[in-house]
This record gives sequence, structure tokens and C-alpha cells, in this order.
Amino acid sequence: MSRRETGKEKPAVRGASATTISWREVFEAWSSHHRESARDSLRRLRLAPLQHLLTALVIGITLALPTLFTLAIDNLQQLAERWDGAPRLSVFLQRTAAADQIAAVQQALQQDAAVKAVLLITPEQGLAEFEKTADLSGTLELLEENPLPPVLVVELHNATPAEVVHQLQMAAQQLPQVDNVQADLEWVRKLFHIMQLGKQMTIALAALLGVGALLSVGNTIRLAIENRRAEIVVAKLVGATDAFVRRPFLYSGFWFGLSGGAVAVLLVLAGYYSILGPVTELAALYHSGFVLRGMDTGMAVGLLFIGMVLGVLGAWLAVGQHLQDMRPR
Amino acid sequence: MLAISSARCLTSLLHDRGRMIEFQQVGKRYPNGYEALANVSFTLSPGEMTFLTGHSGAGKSTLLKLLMLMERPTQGRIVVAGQELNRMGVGRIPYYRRHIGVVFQDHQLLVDRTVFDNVALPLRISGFPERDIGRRVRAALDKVGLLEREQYYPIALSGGEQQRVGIARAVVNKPPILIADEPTGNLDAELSAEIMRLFEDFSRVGVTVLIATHDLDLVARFGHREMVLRRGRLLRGGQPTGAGA
Repeated sequence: MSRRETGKEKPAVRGASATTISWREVFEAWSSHHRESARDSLRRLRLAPLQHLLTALVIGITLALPTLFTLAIDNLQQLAERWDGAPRLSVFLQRTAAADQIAAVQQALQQDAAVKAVLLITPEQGLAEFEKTADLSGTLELLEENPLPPVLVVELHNATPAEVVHQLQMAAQQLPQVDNVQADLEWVRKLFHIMQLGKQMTIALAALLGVGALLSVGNTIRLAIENRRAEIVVAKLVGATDAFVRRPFLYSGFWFGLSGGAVAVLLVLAGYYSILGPVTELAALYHSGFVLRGMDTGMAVGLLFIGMVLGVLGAWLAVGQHLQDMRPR
Repeated sequence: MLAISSARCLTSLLHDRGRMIEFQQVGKRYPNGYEALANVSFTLSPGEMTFLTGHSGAGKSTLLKLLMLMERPTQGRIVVAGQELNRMGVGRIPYYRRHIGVVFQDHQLLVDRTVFDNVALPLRISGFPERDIGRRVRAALDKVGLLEREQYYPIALSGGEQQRVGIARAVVNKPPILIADEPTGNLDAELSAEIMRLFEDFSRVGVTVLIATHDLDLVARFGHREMVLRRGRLLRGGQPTGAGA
């Protein structure tokens, strides 16, 4: 043991020294405690496999549910985008529109690439159709003049995206003599709104489940702390820092989170493969090119990462609370 | 290079000042109004061995807790090795505690670890390199006469042996201060005397030893300075032996 010249040193407990240790050795001791904590926490998980499994399941389900919802919404969106029913616009003209004005509007509409055909339904044709479909003949005769406006039915090409339909609708609205334009694809837009709502609800659900998972990990770690209370008390009394006490529990949280993430990946994969067959058959029946989108590698890595973060954070909160209680008052 | 302190040089460093532990009008009142300590003043010199006696509930444990910074006083100041404990931040407490060895009545050994690992705990916590740990642990175990028991688990040892392991753990990083709370509480007279002789050995090499006990026979037999607490007040022994009580 090498003794240092101490005569000039401040009388601080911390500064006094008899042994000198290099930073390298300090780092080695620190990293050795990390390795030790990681190994020891793994060993403890194996000692209580059921508890470990349950916590991992809670984290796994927490992560898998929002992921499955997100995938479902993603696929619905894909489905809506490749909607292949023929979309139509009904362009209602003013009743005073003259025949050449109507022809001009018809011409203008025809210009757009998405438009397949533009058919004119004159007020007379409209009335005739109306009389046919509804038994209103008597009533209509009471009217002095035909109340129906001329209508241009704009047939669009198959699989025109909803956005294009919407743009076309706006453009048609601006044409002279046009009174009102209605899109038959209104429901597609509604679907988009519903999916938007679904996305927001998924985020809210993910946040709630995340809090639940944090509490669950925290609870498991609290039990572990309880089991090792004596050890913590002794360690603190012989000079363990908060970081030293926290470390093994953070590693436990890390393993919980990582295995929870793995459970989530498995659950999502199971969900995907369980509906892959029926969906593919259905798509084939409708001669649709629809392919069910599953999880990509980035998503799987993300799940593992989020699981890990949840585990470590839950452990941190639980130990932090305990350490706070041990502060001198 | 990082300096890690050890007992002997700190002791020599402070020897001139003649004060290792100093309580100045220290009081501790708990939030429920109970006054555990009031107006306690005393000074302990390096290498001094002192008994702290008093009925149960007299404040012995509170005094030791204040010294360990497990609790903070509500009045007065405590100075240890020139450091004011009142001003010590939470983050520095662990480093402060590394300079105080503690022995408990129930020895507080970890039952799932060997004697060696129990004694090595303070060294691992302080970040000692592995090459030093084995040597230091064996030196401490040798001192308490348990060198051949290092691979035993505490449960396989007798009460006296367990307490000696506790002492080995307390002194393994050579602290300048050793405090003991009823260290002989569960031991017979002969084993108790054996433990006391160990404490005397440490005080002889400069360690300040403070032992809380209710075993008055033992105190009388060893004849060191005695501080007596009654209802939280220091009845006598506030001045060092010879300076008048």
C-alpha cells in the first residue's frame, strides 16, 4: 500500500487517501458491477419464472394491442385507397341554364383525365324517371312547372383516389351555371375520418396501456425490492450510492421489458398469420390485388426497444420511490 | 489518479486537532413531537474507545443514527473529521459512510452470501479493484479469527462468529470510526468480552470506537470512558476521561 503525503491535504473525509487507484481501475470496478448486475438479475428471473412470465405478458399485450390496431387501420386505409367501385359525381345545374351553356359545362368536365363519361339528364328525363320510380304521378301533375334542374352525371375511372374525386368536385363547383355538386364517394371520406379517429384512439389506448405496464413493472420490482430489503439497508449503510442500489433493479426491468417486447412481436406475428389465409382468399374472390400488410423489421425492433424503455423506466420509478424513503430526515 | 481514503492516514491527519467526532448542543425532535435527544454535547478523539449507555429509549440509537446520517438533527451541529454533517448533501452521504464502520446487534449479514462476500460488500461498493479485495477481506477475517470460514454461509456459524463477521465487514475498508449498536446483545459474557477486546485492538491502532450498550457489567469491566444518556439528555461523560465529568 502506498501512502500519500497527507500533511497539506484538506481535512475532508473524502480527500484523505492511503491507496491510490487509477481511473482505469475505477472504471473496471464500475463495469464489473454492471456485468455482475446484469448476470445476477438474469439469474433471479430464472428463479421466479412465473412472475417473470406474467410481467413479460403484461408488457407484451400492452405493446401488441396498439400495434395490431395500427396495422388494422393501415390495412383498411390501403383498402380504401384501392377502392374499385366506379365513383360518380352528380353536377346539379341551375334551372335557367340554356342548352349551349350546359354543353359548355359538359365539355369542361370532359377535359379531366379522371373522367370517363359525362351524361346529361334533362329535367324532362329526370321527371320521367322520378315518376317511374316513385308513385308520385298524381302529385307531380299538380305542379305547374318541372321543379327538377338539369343534372350532369360524371362517371369517373375505376379506382380514382378519394382525393382526386374531392378535387374534381371542388373544380366542378366553380364552373358557371353549376348549382351544386355531390360526390357519391362521400362514404370513402367518412371512412377516412373514422380511421383518423381510430388512430387517435389507438394513441390514447397505447398511452393508457403504457401507464398500466409501467405500474405492473413497478409492482414486480417493488416485490423484488421487498425481498432484498435487508441487502439494500446494509448496502446503503456501508456507503452504497443510489446508482449502485438502483443498478441491479434497472437490469431486472431491462430483462422484463426486453422479454415483454419479444412477447409483443410474437403476438403480432400470431395475429397476422391467423388472418392472412382468410384475407388472401377473400381478396382472390374479388380479384383484388390486396395484400395484407404485416409487421416489418423496424416495427419489431421498435417493439423490443419500447418494451425495454418501459421496463427500465418502471424499475427506475419503483427504486426511486424506495430510495426517497431512505433519505435522512 | 483518484484518491480513495483509508483509515490510518485520516486518523493521523486529524490527530493534532484531537477531535474526530463532535456534537454541539444536538437535539432531535420527531415530527410527532417526541424529543429523542436534547442538548447533547461531547467530543471524541481519534483512537478513543467510548461506551454509550442508558435505558432503552434513552436516545442511544438516535445518537448513532445521527452519526450515520440516517437521520438529521433538529438542533445543534455535528462535526465529524472536520466535516459538518448538517451541511452534507444527500449525494455525499454514501462517501461519508464509507469512513464509518457499523456493527449491529443482529449483525445484519446477508444470508444468501458467503462470509467472504459479506465482508467484501463494502469494498465492492467503494469500487475497490478485485486484486485488492481478496487480500483485504482475508486480512479482516484473520483479525477476527475466522479466516478458515470464508466460504461458509452465515447460517452455519455460531452467534459469536456471526458477530465477528459483522465486525470484519465493519473494519474491512479501515474506517477511522467504528460504531456498534448493542454488539454483544445476544452473546454470553465470555463471547462479549472477546468482542470487546477486538474493539480495543482497533482503538489501539487509532480507530475511534463508540459502543452503545446496556451491559453495565461489561462497561465496568473494561473501564473506558462512559457516556450516559437519560431521556435524551447526556447525564455524564460529555468530557473526555480525566477532564472531569
